Amino acid sequence: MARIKIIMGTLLLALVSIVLSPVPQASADDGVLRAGDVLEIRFPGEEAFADPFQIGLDGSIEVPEIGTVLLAGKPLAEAEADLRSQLNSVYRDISRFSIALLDRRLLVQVLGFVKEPGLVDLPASANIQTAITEAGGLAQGAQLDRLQLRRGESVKTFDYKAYLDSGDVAILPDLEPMDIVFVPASPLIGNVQVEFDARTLTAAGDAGEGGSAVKVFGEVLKPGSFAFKEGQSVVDMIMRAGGVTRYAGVEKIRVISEGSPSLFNLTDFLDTGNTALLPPVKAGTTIYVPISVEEVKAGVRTIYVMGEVAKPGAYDMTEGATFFDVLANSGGPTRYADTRKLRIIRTDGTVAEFDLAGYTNGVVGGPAPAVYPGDAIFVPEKADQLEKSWLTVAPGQAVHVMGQVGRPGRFEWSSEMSLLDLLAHAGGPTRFADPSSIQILKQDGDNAKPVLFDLDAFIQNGGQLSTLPRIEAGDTIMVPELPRSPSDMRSLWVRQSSERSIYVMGAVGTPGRFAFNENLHFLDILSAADGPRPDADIQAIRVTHRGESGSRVSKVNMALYFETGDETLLPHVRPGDVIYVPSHNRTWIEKKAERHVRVIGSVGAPGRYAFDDTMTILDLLAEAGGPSPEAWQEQIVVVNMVDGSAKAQSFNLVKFARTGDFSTLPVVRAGDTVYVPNASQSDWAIFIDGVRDVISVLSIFALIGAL
Amino acid sequence: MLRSTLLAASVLLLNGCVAVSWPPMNGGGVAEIAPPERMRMMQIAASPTEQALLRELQDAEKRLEILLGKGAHRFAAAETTLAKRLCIRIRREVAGTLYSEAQADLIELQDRLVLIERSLAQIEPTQRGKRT
Repeated sequence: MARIKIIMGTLLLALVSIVLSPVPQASADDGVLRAGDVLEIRFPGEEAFADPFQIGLDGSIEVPEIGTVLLAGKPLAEAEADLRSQLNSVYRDISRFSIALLDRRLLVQVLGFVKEPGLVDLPASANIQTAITEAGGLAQGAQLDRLQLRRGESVKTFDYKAYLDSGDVAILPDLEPMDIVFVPASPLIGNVQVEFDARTLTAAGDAGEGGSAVKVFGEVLKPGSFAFKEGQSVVDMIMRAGGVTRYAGVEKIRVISEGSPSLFNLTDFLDTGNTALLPPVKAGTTIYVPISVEEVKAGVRTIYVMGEVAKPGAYDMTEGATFFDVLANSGGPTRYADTRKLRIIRTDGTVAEFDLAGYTNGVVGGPAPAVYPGDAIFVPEKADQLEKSWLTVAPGQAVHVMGQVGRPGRFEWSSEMSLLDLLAHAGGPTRFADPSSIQILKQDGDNAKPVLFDLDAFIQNGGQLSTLPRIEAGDTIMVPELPRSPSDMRSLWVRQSSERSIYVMGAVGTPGRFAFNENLHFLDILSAADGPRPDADIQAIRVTHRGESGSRVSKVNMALYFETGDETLLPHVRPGDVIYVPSHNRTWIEKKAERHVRVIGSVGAPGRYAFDDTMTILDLLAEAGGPSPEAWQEQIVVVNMVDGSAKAQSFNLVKFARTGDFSTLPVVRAGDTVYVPNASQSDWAIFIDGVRDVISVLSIFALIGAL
Repeated sequence: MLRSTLLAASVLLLNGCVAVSWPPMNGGGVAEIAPPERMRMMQIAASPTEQALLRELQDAEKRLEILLGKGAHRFAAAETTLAKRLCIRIRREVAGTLYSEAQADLIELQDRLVLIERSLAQIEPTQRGKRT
């Protein structure tokens, strides 16, 4: 029986609950119309009312024939009554007119950082997420935890991110028609509209508000402001900032929370796992990870390495560590180190020197110096790397290198140094140097004795190294300079001795005095003087050999050299010789008669012309401008010099031109004379002149007789 | 009067007939390029002195040809060139009847040939090239 009562009671309760439960319908709970509602206006026979009507944001609908009718806020029955009364004035029969609520819609505006802000039409069951989705979704840079729902004057802020994190729909406020969902921008995007992506944005943190954000900066991979979340530790915040860099000083991380600074030793925390070491992180906390700074190390087992080593610093001495262990740990001496004068400064203030270079070369014997904790090893810098100072090299250990070397100066001398070592140390001779006459001024007490050395010959020919001049402390080495341009540097000539000079004169590009040695050639010096000028008579170059006991002059026929290439034609010249290149324009006195033919008489340009045995009288006449118009071409005379006396022969140029008989050409040689007589000297001309004179005389006699 | 006038005219006309004597034509200025037939004719018609000189010149030219074959043009180029010019000069002098000059130049030519021979003697036979 009791079971029947229980069953009956349950059924009764179910019935009551069914009766009392809200009816699922399109109408509002209170039956009042609102914006977004979709109405069906039934008016049979009127096609204008066939489509449903939706109440707009202003709460009204547009009804055909009667216009705008405000319906929002009215119960459905009242709305129907209003419409009926207004339609009654327009339509005759409205007995079959009725309205019904077809659908309830939510007209909501979604604004702010969404992709398509504006009015969205949502079903009645829609929520905030649906509205945002309908508005195209969130735009990059949207601040998710501070979305706003504006309804009339009221503004409700809610954490959309929390909803996304948890799925708790209760976090989202219910929507009503006319609501405005506003998605704010994150403060991180700044006040300037730029294109950015989410990765860039979040790289600088994700904080929405500057006041509550946790700032993490310093030696972290991604410094920035991060949203404060309750329960996060310093380690969490550092991890959000990408972790520490390799340069971070993790022993002294600074945390400022609520204005109270504290130090956090991450190393200790990781070593112990003691969470009590973690300072509290609150809203607005600042975390700074400093760069690692070397601490001044000191201790009872520390040894110091200073100066020109790769890694100077303090090192811990372990048991049995030697001098070389310490030096090797410091990276060893650099290339600027003076390894001959290492110094070990003991704890008691004494200083011990050590010649590392000599030790490695085997010059210095014995064991390496012992080192102890507290000692300091000093590796000095090379003296020549320092400023030029007399103090760096003692006068008794210095040699002087001057003149045309790369780095002239005062250098430290060592007994094993040779002249070549010293010159190489001074940068070697420059391109302006004359290594053939290096001058060494050797110190001999208060006196100085000069020594000349031909380094050029030594380098080219070789020889015993013992023949190199011995250099000692106090010596001075002078590398002389070559004259750079004899045309405009004449003042430098005085620096060049006559024994090293050769003279080039006459018709060359740059006559003058040139530095010369035994290794140079005739063509070298002629080229150095810029070669013969166009007017140079290269068949008659003369070389005066001044260095010989008697006087000797060589004649050089450069034209023959260029024709044959015979090197034996070029003379061997030596310093002191004089090369004279005559000009074609020189006076006749300077021209040898034996090398020329005189062309005189009726020619275009009488004169003396150079002649060789390959030429003929035709060449000569052509060079002399040819016979003039008044020339007696039938009787050209050639006077040959035979055994010191003259022998004449004639040549008929006109006949030769007519016949082309080359056998009639006369013999002409250098030293001969060609005479082209005037036509007035011909026999016929003389006869005609005589007749003319006779006629003149006869005419005079005739006149006298007539008188 | 007429007689004296004719006499004066005759004297004056005779004076106009006075001719200047000019040296004879001789030739030989380019004897080195004379055709072979002419050379033979010259040798046949030449005087004994001229024939002797030409024979001596031909001998020297043959000697020079032999030296050229041994590389004189490479190892004694200048002397060879001068010797060739001297040959030309001698041939011209013979053709121009300058015999004494030709004789002197033949002596000089022989000296040059000796110099060329000495130069070639200093050169290894393997180094000598053929005449180009």
